Amino acid sequence: MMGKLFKHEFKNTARRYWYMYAIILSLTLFCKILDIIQLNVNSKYLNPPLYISVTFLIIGLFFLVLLTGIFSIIRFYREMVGNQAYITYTLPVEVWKHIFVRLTVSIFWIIISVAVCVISGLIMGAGHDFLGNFLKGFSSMLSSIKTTQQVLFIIQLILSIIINTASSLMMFYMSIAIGQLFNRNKAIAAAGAYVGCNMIMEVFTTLLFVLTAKRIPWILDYNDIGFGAEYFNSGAEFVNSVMLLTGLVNILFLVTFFLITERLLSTKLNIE
Amino acid sequence: MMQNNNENFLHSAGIENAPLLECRNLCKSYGAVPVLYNWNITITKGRVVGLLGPNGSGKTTLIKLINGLLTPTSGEVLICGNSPGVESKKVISYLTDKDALDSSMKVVDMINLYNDFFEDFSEVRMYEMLKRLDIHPETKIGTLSKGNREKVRLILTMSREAKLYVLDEPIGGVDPAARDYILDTIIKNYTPESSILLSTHLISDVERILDDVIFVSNGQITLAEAADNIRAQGKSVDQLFRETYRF
Repeated sequence: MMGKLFKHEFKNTARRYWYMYAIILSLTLFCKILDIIQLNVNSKYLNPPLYISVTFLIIGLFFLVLLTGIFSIIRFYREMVGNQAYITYTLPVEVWKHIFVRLTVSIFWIIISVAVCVISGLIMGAGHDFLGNFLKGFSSMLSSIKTTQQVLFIIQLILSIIINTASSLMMFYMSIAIGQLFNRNKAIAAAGAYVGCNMIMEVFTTLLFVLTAKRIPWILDYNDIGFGAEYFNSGAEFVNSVMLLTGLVNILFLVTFFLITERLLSTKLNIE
Repeated sequence: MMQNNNENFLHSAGIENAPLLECRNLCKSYGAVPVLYNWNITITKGRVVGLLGPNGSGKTTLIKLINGLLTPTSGEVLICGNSPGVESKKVISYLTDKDALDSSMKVVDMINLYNDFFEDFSEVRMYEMLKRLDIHPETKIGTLSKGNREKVRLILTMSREAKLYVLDEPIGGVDPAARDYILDTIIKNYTPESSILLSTHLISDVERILDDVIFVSNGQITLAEAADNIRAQGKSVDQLFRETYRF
């Protein structure tokens, strides 16, 4: 059943995102053509259209990632508590599978959207100094980490971003599940639930770091000779450790939000 | 024939006694507002049961409880002995009162969805009925007229060989010719191994196909009776309904 859910979810979402990617990549190519012409011709008259096009491209890239997230939230609302929920809950599939598939597919499209942005950036950066400088800077930071841990650092960075994204999305889903409990103004109730959950999460995270700082000296006492210095060879390793702890906290949040969402939609469903 | 509200009970004398649907002391409230009050219903196979009542009487609420879209305040709903969930959804074919089809999808997308998730879905029957309606499977749902969308929804529902068909207002909002088509489709695709629970407020149109009727009003069952018994009294179901709910 999970495979079939994935199949239909990918099919139903792909048609929307392909259009957006096609538009962004077409705009990128257009900007790059203008850029190449300008590099060769160096005419002041080409600057305005080039700058305007690049501005539109940057705005487009920003909205691409933003809209990918927004679409996934709207789709979850529509299909799990909105009009199309009638079809969703008619299917003989456990609720947790519906949630899991939608979360996974949403993360997939966010990753693809980010990848499209990176590709767009690489295309525009090709032949310019800033791309080379950026890559040199990143490489310099990596070289401060022990060679054997560099790959681990990159993997951890990517996983942290994915887990953080999943946790953020799941909080939206949980807010929607809380909002549907209300008989009226479900969307407003969901927004209120999101604000409330955010506040609770912030308080929890702050308390967690304050309470663990003294017990795990390497979190806050990096510059203190008496505590943290022997644990790190570099700032990158300090970042590595913070990423690890943040990742663990985000996994905890992700699982908690998932369980709450599943329970609410399984036992307290209120589709009107 | 009116029945005591505390003993509302309809036991359909089907071919066998194993109930397809049981509601036991079923109640549903929204806050302090009761919507269903103490419903007891048993439906066995081989019956077409009409759930009849004015707007806001609780018909759709019961149907949603059966399909797991709402949770009871108290009491229980059992479908072939199971609470609403994965197992019950395998045997119920549900026609919603709302048009929940995704307008951006094609008809064939919905057919593939039903085919993938319901083992009892008959693709052959679906395409036959689609052909008779002269609707191409590649048609985008958003381009269909309201009547055709209703028909597509209905034939998706009736293309399943389910044990219990639950049809919520299947003829509301369509023209008389479409109503006849819908009712004929229901009759042609119904088997004695299954039952149909059909809710409507357009009683005169559907009474010809009903075996049993349940009158509901203000969240309570006011009558549960075999349609033939009503007709034996010299009245149609529609006449009795109008007399019962006269303003």
